[in-house]
Amino acid sequence: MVQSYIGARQVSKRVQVSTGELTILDNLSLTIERRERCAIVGESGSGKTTLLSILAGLDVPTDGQVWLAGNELSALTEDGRARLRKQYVGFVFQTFQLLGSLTAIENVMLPAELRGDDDADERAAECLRRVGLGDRLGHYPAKLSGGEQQRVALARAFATNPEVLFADEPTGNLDTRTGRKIIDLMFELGEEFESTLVLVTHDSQLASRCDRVHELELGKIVS
Amino acid sequence: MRSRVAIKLFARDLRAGELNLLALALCIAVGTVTMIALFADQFRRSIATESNSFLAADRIITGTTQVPDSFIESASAIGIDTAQLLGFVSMIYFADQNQLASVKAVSAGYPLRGEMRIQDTSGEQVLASGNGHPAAGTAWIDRLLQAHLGIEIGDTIEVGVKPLRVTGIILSEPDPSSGFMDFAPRLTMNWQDIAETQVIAPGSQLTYRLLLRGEDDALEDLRGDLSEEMEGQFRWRDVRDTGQRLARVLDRAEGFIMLAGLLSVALGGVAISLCAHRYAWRRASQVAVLKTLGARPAELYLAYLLQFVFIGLVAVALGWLLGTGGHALLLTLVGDAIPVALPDPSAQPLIVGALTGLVCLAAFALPSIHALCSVSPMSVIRDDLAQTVNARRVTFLVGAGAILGLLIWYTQNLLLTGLALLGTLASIFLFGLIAVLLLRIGRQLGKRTGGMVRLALSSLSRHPMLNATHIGIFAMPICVLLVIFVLQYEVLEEWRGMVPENTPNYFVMNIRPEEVEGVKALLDEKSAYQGLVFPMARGRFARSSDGTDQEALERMDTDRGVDADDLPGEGRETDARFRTRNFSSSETLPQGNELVAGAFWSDPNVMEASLDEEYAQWNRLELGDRLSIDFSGQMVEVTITSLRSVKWDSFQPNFFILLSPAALNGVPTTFMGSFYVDTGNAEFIRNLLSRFPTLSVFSVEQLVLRFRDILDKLSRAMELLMFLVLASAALVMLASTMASRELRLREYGLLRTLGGSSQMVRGSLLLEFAGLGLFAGLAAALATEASLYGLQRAVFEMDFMWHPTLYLYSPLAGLIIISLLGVFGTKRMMNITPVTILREIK
Repeated sequence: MVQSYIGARQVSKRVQVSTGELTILDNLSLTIERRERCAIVGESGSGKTTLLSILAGLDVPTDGQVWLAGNELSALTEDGRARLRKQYVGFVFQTFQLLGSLTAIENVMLPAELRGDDDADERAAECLRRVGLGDRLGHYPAKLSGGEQQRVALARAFATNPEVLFADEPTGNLDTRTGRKIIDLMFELGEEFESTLVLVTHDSQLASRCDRVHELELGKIVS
Repeated sequence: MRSRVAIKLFARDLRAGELNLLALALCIAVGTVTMIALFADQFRRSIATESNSFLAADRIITGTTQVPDSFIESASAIGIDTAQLLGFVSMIYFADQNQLASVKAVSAGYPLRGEMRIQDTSGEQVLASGNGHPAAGTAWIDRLLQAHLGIEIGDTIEVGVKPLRVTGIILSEPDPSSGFMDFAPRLTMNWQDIAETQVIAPGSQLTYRLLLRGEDDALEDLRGDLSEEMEGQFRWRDVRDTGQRLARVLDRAEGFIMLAGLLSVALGGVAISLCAHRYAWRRASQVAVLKTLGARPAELYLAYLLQFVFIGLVAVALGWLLGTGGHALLLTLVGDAIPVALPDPSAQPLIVGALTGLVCLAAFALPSIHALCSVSPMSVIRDDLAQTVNARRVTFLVGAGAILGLLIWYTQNLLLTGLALLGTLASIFLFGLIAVLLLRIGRQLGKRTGGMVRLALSSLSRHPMLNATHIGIFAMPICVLLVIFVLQYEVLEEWRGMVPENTPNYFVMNIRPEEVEGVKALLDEKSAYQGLVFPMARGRFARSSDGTDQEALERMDTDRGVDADDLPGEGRETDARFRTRNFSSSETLPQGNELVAGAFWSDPNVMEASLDEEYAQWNRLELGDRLSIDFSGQMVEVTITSLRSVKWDSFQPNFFILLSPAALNGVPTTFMGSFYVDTGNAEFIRNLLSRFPTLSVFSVEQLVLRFRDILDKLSRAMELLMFLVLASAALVMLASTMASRELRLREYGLLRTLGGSSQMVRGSLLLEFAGLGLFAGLAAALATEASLYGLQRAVFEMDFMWHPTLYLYSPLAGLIIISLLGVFGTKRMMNITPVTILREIK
């Protein structure tokens, strides 16, 4: 297999549980091209989130090789993978994962601050305005609705102009209408920032908006 | 991550109040530990000063010849103050009467510690240290001598051939036991008049003392410098050498103060650990998110270390302010109730406070931070952060190790620390296991109930390990409180028992057989007198005609088996065997005596002897040995048939050797007894002496009063310390409640969302805390009993007894306190909507 922008080759993930060894991903391979929008779908427990975590360098496979932004992850340490994430990656989570002790703008500034960017606050404010929260900059997450929190998370994800955006069930905690708005916004920003999108979802309608769909079943890609 | 980001994160956490609880706990813990350490340090040093007043000095050098001038020069050279004292027994002459008295001649500067109270023509005078000596040519006498000879102020008496004008009556003196004959009528005169009395002659029985006052280090240096010159002729003494009684009281008081300090350090440590753990737990999501954003573990370490260093330093500074401020405030508020003049605090308590804060913070927070930095960023996606920071075991071990190290450093006493800490922890651990069992049973019971009881029991049993831990944590402060309360109560009870009301303050001797009934009648009428009169005869050990005691006598001549200093008074004379000594007799075992071997008496009609256990050991005498005693030519042969342990500090007549009634039968004896009359009742003594002029009346009144005074002061100091420990314990309980607050509130919010009525859920929460308190109280009672057993037996050397009431009061206290704290800790949350709770604590 030729090295791709994002890819997995013969990746397996096994964990020990009380009843023995559990295989979550089973000898799985896939490639994702730059600026491609790719959905990973499947039933609960099919291994979608594990695959996303391994592709993003948050977790390591038991066997196989993984590439992210052209870099082979197995050759990197935890620090090396962290550096790669800082440089190329943005995340959106199902549970938003905003820091409760930070205001909306501070949450959005965080990745830029980690990179040492000097204009973190201006860019964060701009991103928040872009997601329609220009009047909520100083609000704490606990004071925002679920949809608003996810919009802050989107702003945070795009604040560093990431080449890759990983999204794990971004609408899972939102009602249909709000969820649709968030997805529209995410695709719009993806276009705008020319990002590669890796989206984990069980929503087939949402998946159909992507360029390619990989369906997982019992840790294997079935289509 | 740049350090700038670390600082920004810190500033934002600070502003959002995330660090408040930890900083507050740290601050209060450092504050209370500092405050208790300040008091403990001051009390310890003031007790030393106060008790040294019993010597009228910090240390003394004593001997039977005058202390060389070189000793005084050596002392002065290193800044030690000195004064001299000579004690001797002399006949005092007034008009045509005379009386044997214990005379004390003191130099300028006396007393170096304590104060002298006298009554002169202008009333009562309190003479501070340095001024408690009569002018040359004058003398002060005590009420007993005044009663014996009928002397008034202004009269002139004679000591030897020196006339001295009486200018004062001694009401109290700092060192009532400093004379040669402690309890005889007393007279104090000026050192300069000694030569003119002409009573000092070769063979006179004299006790010279060089009184010393200075810093401990300087005194130890002096002791080292003079050790060779003192060898054989002079002895170095401190206050503990002056009597078992005071030494034991001081040991108790110091042990208690040390324990109070130790427990406050332990409680402070636990409070910090709880808050540090909660802090780390709450940081988990932050760390995980930062990691997904590309932060490296090393950068996170740096960021959190920075936070901890800052929190630590700020909290220590504020804690010091709180501790010293609280200390000053308390001194202002209850200054009058504090019994002793407290010396300026030393720097040590501040170091203790700071170290407690920093060491506990580091020990409990660093393992949590380590665990945090190893958090997989995966947990953000999995939303299983709570599990990832489960470094409890490592944290606990590191933390417990640090607290143990801290306590050993603080107390310098491995036994006390080990017993107090391990006993408590072991008991709590054991009860934690029992708690898990009880919680499971509770769940089964809960299924048969309904409503809030079922809800509470099922909530308790849903997290058995967590709740068992909380039970352990709640149990600890309750246990500490109970230990300190019971110990304080029992030490005070023991002290009250040492000098009960109506403790005899006079001894009367030389009662002739025909006077016994008359003296008894008078004493019955006018004093608290228990009817005890002991026969007394002077005799000396001798060789028997048939040589049956040969073996015992030879053993008495060999090396002594115990240190002579362990024996009180007369018993430690190295040539005791050949001294004429007092023998007495009693049909029953006297009060304050305990039989340790043999029988008292096997048959009153047989010639038997009962010896003080230590005296027998000192003289290598055993049960079955035969002894011959020469009573002015009348030989009595006895067999040792019992050994007794004697309470020498009971203020009752006590004897090394008691003979069976048959043995003293036919030997000419006089009688002695002790009695109590109201303080200063010189009239009664005068009356007694005028009716029976040949009696010798000795007073221990001063000794009893001084002793009771010191006990009283120490008791009040201990009570104050107990209340301070109570404050520390309250802090730990509050921290424990806060630590479990999130979990309970999350469930509370959930139950409300699912339709549980506010009243029902609130009631269930209250019942849950009540259940925790009840179980914790039971655990505390068990742990208290175990700790008391160890402490009383091994450290305080007291008799252990069971405390059945603990098992009633402790669970009750646990139930009430934890319920109240639970309600207090969750009060605000009760008034807001479930959705807000769920959002806030997510």
